[in-house]
Amino acid sequence: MSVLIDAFGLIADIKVLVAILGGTFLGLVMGSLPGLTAAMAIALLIPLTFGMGPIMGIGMLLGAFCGAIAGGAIPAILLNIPGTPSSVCTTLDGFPMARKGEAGKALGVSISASFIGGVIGAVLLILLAPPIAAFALKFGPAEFFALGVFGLVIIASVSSGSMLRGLVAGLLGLALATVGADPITGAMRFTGGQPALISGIDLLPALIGLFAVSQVLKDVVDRTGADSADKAPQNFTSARPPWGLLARAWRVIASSTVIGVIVGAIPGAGGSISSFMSYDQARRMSKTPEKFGTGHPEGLIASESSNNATAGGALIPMLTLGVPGEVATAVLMGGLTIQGVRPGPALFDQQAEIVYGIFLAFILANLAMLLMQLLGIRLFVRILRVPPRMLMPLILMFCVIGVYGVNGSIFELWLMFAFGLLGFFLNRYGFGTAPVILGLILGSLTESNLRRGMVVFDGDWTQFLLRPISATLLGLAVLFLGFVLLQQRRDRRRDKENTA
Amino acid sequence: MKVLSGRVVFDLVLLAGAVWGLVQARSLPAAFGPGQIGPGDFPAAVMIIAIVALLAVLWQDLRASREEPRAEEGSTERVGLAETFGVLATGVLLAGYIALLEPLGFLASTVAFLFLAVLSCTWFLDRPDSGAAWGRLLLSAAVLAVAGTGLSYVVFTYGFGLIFP
Repeated sequence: MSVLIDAFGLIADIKVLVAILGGTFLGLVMGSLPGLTAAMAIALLIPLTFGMGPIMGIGMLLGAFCGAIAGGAIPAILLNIPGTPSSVCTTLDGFPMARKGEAGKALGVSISASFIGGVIGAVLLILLAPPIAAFALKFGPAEFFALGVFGLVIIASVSSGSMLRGLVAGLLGLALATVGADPITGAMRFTGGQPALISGIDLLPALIGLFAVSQVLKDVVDRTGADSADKAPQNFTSARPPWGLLARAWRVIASSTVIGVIVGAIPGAGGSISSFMSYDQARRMSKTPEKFGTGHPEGLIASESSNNATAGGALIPMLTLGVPGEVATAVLMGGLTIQGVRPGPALFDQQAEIVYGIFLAFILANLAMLLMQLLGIRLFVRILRVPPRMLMPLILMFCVIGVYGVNGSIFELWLMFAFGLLGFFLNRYGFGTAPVILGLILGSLTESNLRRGMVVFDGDWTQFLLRPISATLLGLAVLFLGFVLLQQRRDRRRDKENTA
Repeated sequence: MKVLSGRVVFDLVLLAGAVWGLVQARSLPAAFGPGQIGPGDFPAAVMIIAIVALLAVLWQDLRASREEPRAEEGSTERVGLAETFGVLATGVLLAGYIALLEPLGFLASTVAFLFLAVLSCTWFLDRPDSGAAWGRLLLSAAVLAVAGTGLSYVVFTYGFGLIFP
């Protein structure tokens, strides 16, 4: 209880509240711009959090996380273009509603369903995270190594296309994680005599390069010669939460948020999967399933409450085990690490007030998301009309300011540039950038615990397989990998049948 | 028959990097005791797996470019000349911005970057079709460059305490 009071003390600061509001606003702006993801929003905001205290900085990043996921619904409803991958399902009923002249109602449903989903996700996070972290406190080097391996297996499912290519990208991240002075012997590895690399590759230039710079380069390719005549329908009025409609759809909300939290907590899953699962479940439960896909509010409620609940669920493995389940939480974890907050079971023991501060900040971010969308929906709709030719240079300028502003290092700017080019080609040839970040984050955890374990077990590697928790985690990793392989094979077969 | 597609070239670049990494890792000091893992062992293992995986990827890509050159030609991966120049121009502008950040200082380099980048993006994304439209574009690019730079400078210097060159 005293921890909670301490956490309230941390949050009840006008600067923290302004940071959460600011983060949410920027997240909503980024989320409402098609092509700019939650991961990119967080990556671009990380440099701004350097001069801030941990809770203030983390609050800003959490605001951006919630805002970007919720903001993705705006272009999904108005333009039929999902702002973020998790709002793909929102287009199914959101856009038909807008075409029927119900854009205001659709936005109102989306905003309130997002808020309810986000808050329920936050409550479940608060209830579930501490016992999981308490259990994880029993972990030693073998268990952490197994956890690292389990996290790396996630690469299989975050790879957008071929698993083999995802594996290559993940290995690239692992290799990059070994750059710098060896943590045990101090031997220099792959530094090329560059003093700036002795402490390893800084996460920030890598994050910004891979997620922001590469995205701008990709947008240049995608938009060159493309028809830029997308215009939002003009028939939307005010967006107000239809509380009566939401109350009647309580079963849809309940099932969607539970699915969202569970799917979010499973490493490798994400908002797009949970929203489709919830949508399907809502259609099964509905008295009017035939209306789904034609502009049915229940479909919109299912999608939006689920993908926002996923955010809370995704924070569970990240905070308790230090394993980010998907791209946005991987970037968020990078942001927390840069803030000096190392996610993992020890965090709940050593910095409990920070953990509860994160929980409270997450609830406040959802509240800020509701208020900002209700008050500023017209502004976010206008943002959709900012021409990319103006936006892209500004994003690149913020990338440079963000990376340079932290250490004043030109070398890190070149590193960001190199990661941008690398990310562009990785995306273009189907390798993806998310596995690189997962490898970069989990590489040191995996290597250091493997080597520490070998010292502790006197060179007996079988101990990694004999200890119950590490054996279970390694077994789960193998099972998970098998499941993903099977699913990919099934998808390939289905694609072949469809094309035949 | 086109075998050396961009995809294959990228695979080869990654493969060369992995081989270089393996050679570097093997030259690192050995472990300090029997049954222990040295500083080069983990990266060497990563590089070996990467080389095997990359060879498999390369094999797939070579086979795809031999068997279905036409399919590849029609794929969305294929990038036209305009797109290539667009990416090159953006990359050169960003590299120039980074290179000139310290010699010119933040204000001058940022104004120049924003102005040129807006013109470059407009040229590739949404080219104006009349002299008057070009005039309006030059004006809006100049306004964005000056206002964007000034606002960022004030916010980041006085709001976040950053020190720019």
